Amino acid sequence: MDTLYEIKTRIITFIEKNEIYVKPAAKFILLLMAYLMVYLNLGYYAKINNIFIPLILSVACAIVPMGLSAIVLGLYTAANLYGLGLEIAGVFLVLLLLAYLLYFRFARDKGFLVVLTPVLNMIGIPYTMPIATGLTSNPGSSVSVLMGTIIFYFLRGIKANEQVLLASEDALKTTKLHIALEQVLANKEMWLIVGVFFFINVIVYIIRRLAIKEAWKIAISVGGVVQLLLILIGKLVLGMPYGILGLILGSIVSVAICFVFQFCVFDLDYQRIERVQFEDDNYYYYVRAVPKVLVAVKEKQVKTFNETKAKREEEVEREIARELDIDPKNLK
Amino acid sequence: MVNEEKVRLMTKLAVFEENKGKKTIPIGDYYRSDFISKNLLLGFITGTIAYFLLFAIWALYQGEKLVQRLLALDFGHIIFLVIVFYGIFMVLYLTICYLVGDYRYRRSVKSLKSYKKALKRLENM
Repeated sequence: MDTLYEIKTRIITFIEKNEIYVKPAAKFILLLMAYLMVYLNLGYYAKINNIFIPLILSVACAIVPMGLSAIVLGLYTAANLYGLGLEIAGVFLVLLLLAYLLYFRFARDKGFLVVLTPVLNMIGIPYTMPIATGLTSNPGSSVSVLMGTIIFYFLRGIKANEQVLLASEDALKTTKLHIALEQVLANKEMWLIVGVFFFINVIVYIIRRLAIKEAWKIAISVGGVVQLLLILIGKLVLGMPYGILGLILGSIVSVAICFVFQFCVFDLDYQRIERVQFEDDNYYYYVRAVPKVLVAVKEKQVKTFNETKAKREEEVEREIARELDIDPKNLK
Repeated sequence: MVNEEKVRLMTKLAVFEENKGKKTIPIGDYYRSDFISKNLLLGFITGTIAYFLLFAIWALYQGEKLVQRLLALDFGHIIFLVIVFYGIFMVLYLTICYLVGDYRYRRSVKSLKSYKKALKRLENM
């Protein structure tokens, strides 16, 4: 366990030192995955079907705020859908507009969840999202996950109907429109997942806030099991008994990821390096504030033979430190 | 001679202004009622647009059924339903807007209090 904590500390230290590069790099990887998925699966519009476009866009979007990146990604996807027909692209844009009007007006910083959810859906581990957001945020943030889920199912439905949509070029425009709307309004599987995700998000949020031991671990376990059972039962009731193996495997992997996530995030003393500038009457200040890393890497191990006495002394020291509001190490 | 304590305090204030303060400080310019009213007004506009977009999606999807009803001259019934659902939708949405606005205002006032306290301390240094 100590080695794991040491690795965690090293990672945090590395991120703290190199935040200026790590953050855009992580954003670039996420966006590149999203753009490539759109390019490979939905590249219907020949005029923009060039690998350099997603590459350039993901590099450019890595350095702008996430809200703007999500909008650009949405527009790129809509442009690709235009290859299937104006109606399909139109329905997609209306979905994005609704998401903005109803939700992102309040929470612009949650844009990355809308991008991340479809990406995880494609990999087969979307079950991570409601648990992870329940652990780190409030139930309001589940709306971004739900919107990401709706977008994913819409795009998947369009992909599944591509033959019909491409063939019906001469057919009535209403057919295309109907197919596009059907992917959202009559998609029982999607509404099942949306309902379960919201429920799990709330459950995980409530459990992790309880004043019980290991609340986070219990929240992940309960969330993972209940989620699997609800989706399984829902699928059987709705008469969709396919993809069960993927569901079980995806759930197991998702719970494992959430445990790793919990280890990394819970009790995390991550504070970024701050670079600020200010001035008073006499000076200009250019300050780089570096956070103290609380656990020293490779701390020396001291073995005490008279354990009870040492423990008592340690307790007294801790008590004094708490009263004086200082670090107990300063007393040694 | 640089006053270390003063630099520490100024750094903390600057970090606040650069991060949390970007959203919080402008909220401090409003009275609570003004801030919430502004939120509700924006909510009313965006909510109305969103509702009619949703209605358009539903109407397009229903297509034939809706046309049949219109042909049966069931205008009154349809308009009644549209208005009732609009009312329910707006009440729910505006309640959420109110709660979010109220929560944000309270939270901002709380952090602005300690910010102002620190500013005063800096002034007295």
